[in-house]
Amino acid sequence: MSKNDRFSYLLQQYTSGSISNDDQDELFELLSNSHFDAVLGSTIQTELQEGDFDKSADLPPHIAQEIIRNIFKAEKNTARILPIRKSFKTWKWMAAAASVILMVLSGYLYFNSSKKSIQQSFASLIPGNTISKYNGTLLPEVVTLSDGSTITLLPKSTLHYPVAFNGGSREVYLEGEAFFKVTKNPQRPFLVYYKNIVTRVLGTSFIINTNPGTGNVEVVVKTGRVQVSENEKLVKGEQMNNAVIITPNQKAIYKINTRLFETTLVDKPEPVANDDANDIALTHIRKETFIFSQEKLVNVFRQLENSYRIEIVPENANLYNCLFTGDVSGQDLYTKLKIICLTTNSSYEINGTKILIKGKGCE
Amino acid sequence: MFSTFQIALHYDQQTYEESHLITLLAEDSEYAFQLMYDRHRNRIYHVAIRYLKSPVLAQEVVQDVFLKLWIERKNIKTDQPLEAWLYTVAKNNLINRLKKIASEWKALTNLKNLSNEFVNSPSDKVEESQYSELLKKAIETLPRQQQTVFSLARNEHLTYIQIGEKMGISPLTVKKHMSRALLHIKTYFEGIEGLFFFAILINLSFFF
Repeated sequence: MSKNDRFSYLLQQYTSGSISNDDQDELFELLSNSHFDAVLGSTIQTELQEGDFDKSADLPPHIAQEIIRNIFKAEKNTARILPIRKSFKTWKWMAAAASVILMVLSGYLYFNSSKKSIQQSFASLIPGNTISKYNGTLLPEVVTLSDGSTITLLPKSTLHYPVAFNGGSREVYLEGEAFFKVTKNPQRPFLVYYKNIVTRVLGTSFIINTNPGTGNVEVVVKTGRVQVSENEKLVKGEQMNNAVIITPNQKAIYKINTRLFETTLVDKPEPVANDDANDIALTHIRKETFIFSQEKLVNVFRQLENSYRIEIVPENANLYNCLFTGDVSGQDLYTKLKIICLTTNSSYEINGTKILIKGKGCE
Repeated sequence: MFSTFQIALHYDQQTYEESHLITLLAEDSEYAFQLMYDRHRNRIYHVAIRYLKSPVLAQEVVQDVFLKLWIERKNIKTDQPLEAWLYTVAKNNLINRLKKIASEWKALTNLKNLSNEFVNSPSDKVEESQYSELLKKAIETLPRQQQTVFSLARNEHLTYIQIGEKMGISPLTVKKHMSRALLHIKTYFEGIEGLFFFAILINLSFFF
């Protein structure tokens, strides 16, 4: 048996857990010099790539969460010295009006497979009497529509819009990326045509952001309501897919390959301002306090639900009996939940547009 | 964002191109990071357990690897699979840890060989009959953890790995406890021998 074979044998015995003490002493003696580093490295590499593992021995979920929290915390500590957070200016700007954010991510798949045909038919949809505004500069440009709505068009984007809105609805056509601030008029819905989806705005302001790279289209809502559906005119003859309405802190994902919409929660839910979008004064993001002292979870969850407009569903009613004490005002929603779950021996997961709380609960 | 995103994962895993996830990650997307974490963490954890024989150490490996990913997120190349990057980092982390353990292990092995004599074979100064009685007393004076390790090894003939699994500690910790226990016993015996020597001195002094 060559030295390498002996080493591999000992290593195999060790990883499977059946090594004797003497053999382990021998293995670790061999390991402490670097003759076998290459063998060790390639053995580990192979296991990482091809190993077949018992699911029951997975990283426990609460520890997985702990680890990811540690990672973000470690970075935030660094960030204090070297700020890498994005500026909040855009958010302030958006918060100034009751806002609906639309983030559309679209991609290569789409571009490569169907760009041409869709673009041709998309172009055929655009009425002849529209103004086409192309932003060839390097800075965003603001376009004001006849109804007072303003659209901030990002570089390399085109907006097709009429000189004046006639008829029942206000329709614009977008290629690229833009921020929308739409004046509210329930009698005349505002529609944005984007590729083969239509976004019907039921609120006042939103963003469309195109980012080539994925096949999916994402629509994210901050406040207000938005309806997203496929464009009937472009998918003529084919079966129409369901439209979805999304409300604050939710997002719809349009899967380009299956042409289905699914809804889930946004990555970073924010407290939702009062729904009355007419009153601009009410629409600033509320700074709420979340301080609890020996409070039953039923009340804690109720306050979170009211603030974020997200349904929180406990797995069993006993969870409502648990008591929570602490100040979670400064944290984002998922950190709040993490802290609450940690102290009540439970865990949470996002299920569609709801948050599911799991755990035995308290007597 | 610390959720498990089970639903999001269901479709994102199929539709999000990995290269796009890396692009998103470079733009500080915690969501993209979470997706990658969910995809790869268990594989790394499983292999780490096999090599380090300790859940706590394996968790540290997972944290090291993904902390590195998060810190380096702007420098990850999109033209290579992320897997390759993660596995290389995991592999190097494991090799470093294993080699560190190995060098400590080796030192403990040498130490053990020194003190083992006293436990295995009574020195001439202590009589055979007294030896087992003295050993029992010596073991009783050990701290609890060391006592448990010692008895699992001596009486149940378990290996370091088996004792570690049973007690929820790493094999290296088992070995440390074992070494300390042996050292303690050695010192105990030396003390006894000292007493014997002292007693002999006193006995002798009567004759002078």
